[in-house]
Amino acid sequence: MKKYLKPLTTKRKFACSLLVGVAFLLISSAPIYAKTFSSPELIENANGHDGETITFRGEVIGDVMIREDHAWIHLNDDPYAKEPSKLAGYNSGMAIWCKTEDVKLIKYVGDYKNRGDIVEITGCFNGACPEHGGDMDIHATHLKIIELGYPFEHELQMSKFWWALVLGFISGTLFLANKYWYHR
Amino acid sequence: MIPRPRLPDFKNIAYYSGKIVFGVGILMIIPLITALIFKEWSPALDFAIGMFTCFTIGLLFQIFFYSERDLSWLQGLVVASFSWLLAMMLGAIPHYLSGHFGSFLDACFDLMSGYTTTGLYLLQDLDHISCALNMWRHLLTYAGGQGIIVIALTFLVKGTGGAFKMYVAEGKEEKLLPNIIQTARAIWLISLSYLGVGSLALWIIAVHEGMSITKGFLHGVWVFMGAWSTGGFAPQSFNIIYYHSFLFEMVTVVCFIIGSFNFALHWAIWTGNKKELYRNIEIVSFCVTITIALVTTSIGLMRLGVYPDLMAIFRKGFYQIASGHTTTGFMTIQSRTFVRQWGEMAMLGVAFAMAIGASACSTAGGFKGLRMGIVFKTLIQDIKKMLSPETAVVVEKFHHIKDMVLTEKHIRGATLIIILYIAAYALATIVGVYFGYPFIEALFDGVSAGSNTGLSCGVTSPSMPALMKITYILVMWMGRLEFMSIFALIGFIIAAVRGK
Repeated sequence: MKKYLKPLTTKRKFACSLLVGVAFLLISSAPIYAKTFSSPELIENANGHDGETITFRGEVIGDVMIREDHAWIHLNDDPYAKEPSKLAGYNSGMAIWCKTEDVKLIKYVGDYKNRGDIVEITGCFNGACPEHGGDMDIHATHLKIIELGYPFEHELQMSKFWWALVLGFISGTLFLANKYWYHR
Repeated sequence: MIPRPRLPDFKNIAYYSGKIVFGVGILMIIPLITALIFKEWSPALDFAIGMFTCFTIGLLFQIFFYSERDLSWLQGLVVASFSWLLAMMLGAIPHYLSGHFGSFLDACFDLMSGYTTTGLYLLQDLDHISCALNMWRHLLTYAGGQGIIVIALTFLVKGTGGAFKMYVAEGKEEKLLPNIIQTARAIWLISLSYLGVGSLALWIIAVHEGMSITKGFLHGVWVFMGAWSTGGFAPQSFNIIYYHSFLFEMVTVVCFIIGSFNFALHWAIWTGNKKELYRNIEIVSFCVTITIALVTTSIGLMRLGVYPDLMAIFRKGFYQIASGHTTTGFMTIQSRTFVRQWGEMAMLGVAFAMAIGASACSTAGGFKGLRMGIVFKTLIQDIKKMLSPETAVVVEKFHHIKDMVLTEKHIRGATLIIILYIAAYALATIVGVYFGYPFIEALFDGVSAGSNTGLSCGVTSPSMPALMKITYILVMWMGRLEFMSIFALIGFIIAAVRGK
């Protein structure tokens, strides 16, 4: 038995370390190779993708809802998330369950006044999540900010201001006229 | 020979329609104030334009068509249907100016959907709209649920016989109190009381689940308005999934089930008649039909193994069924999940629930529990007649606020309206199939529009053909006003053109 337990040589130690290192790299970088999907692709084939590790990218919208060590965020990947000024498509996205420490990276959430951060997550897609009462969600293991959000600048159109003023004047005059003629 | 309407008829209709349009303008003050509080200057201007346009048109109608005559039945019906159309177009102004709609037709679609408490929408990029616009969307459903004519009756119209005719023309028949203005105010008293309690409950839960105090408050108020009015609009595109909270879901279920009850039933319970809750034919009918729908849907879900356990089946199945049956339209699943995961049997279960709807004289749509109860009682009566001697007189009774004997008038009225609803569902479905949507999907969204529900399996979107949008607007409008007012308007137009 003893001959099988002889001590490792330096060469063998190096080879073993290299193997372990490569394996570690492969495992830790696995999410990088997870396929990227859009929300319509996931919704249209939820059963097919159920349990798969996937990558999903979108704009953080609404609220970051912290629930102890995890949090819910919502990522929209509809056309507005890619090009905020363009009115095209409809409303679609995915609910993401991620670690609270990860969501602390998020600076902007999308709403009327802000464009939210564009975030890329990698995690397990659930067509009907057993942990969350059958919700369709992604349990994220990695979260990366791709593009920082920013406050929107909503320009005030002067033409609207003048329309409001003129209509306000006309309706005010009519209100007084109505009072004077019929309700004195 | 149809008599041609005369100038006084037109004047009367225009005068009262002007009052209702003025009322819509008053409603816009709330989103305008919201815009000012949250420093949303551009939406503030959108609402100022919308409000002043309503005031201008409303006052022009009242000045130029001033009338002191009371409304006839026909005029009351025409005022209801015409003013809803006018209110849709004028109320759509802030929507369209917000820049979130592909066309003015899309904005009108959302307005009609809001007023009729349907909840289908074509608004794009919902998650980036202003608080003011969100307030307006939810206020529309809340006001539409009570009825925009009820608003006008509360503040703007004197208590005349004509007022009662307009009230009936809006799809409500029951007087809670002897005076119709007092009835309108009682409806508002009930709704505002629940608004306070329901919003507070949802606000506390929203904050507990991780939302900020301000946003939690807004979401509490908005979601309550959507639930109580059985409207189904939600502030985020994820609808009720957004909150990921079982407790939040349960409170919304309670809100929309209570909201779907008949106002007369609310009033009876408020005034101490608690037995009404389990004796009323509508409640009995609701319990029976929701059980049928839930069993059908659950079998469909279990057959396909969509959900991991029974709890998930109940949580998802019951929520969608209750939401459909009360014609609310809140969802805790994605639209396309109906088609891609739930399958046809579960979809039929939900469509059945939507088609029946909730109570008469409530915020809900569909056939209504009262009519289903009457049809069922008729069936029982006929079976009893068959089993009894030929000379026997079989009397069937039902309880709705008071005990009533089933008469031919009840049966005729209930059957006629159910047939008209089926025709509206068929029209929306046929148009959907014509434009290439699969039958089950066209049926699902068609029934949803006709019954003023708002659940969608993905057919309703800004890319659907314009004719389909118009059809949905039409069936939403007909379904909410329960057909007769619309037929009166059509008849009035024909009489104006061809009458003598």
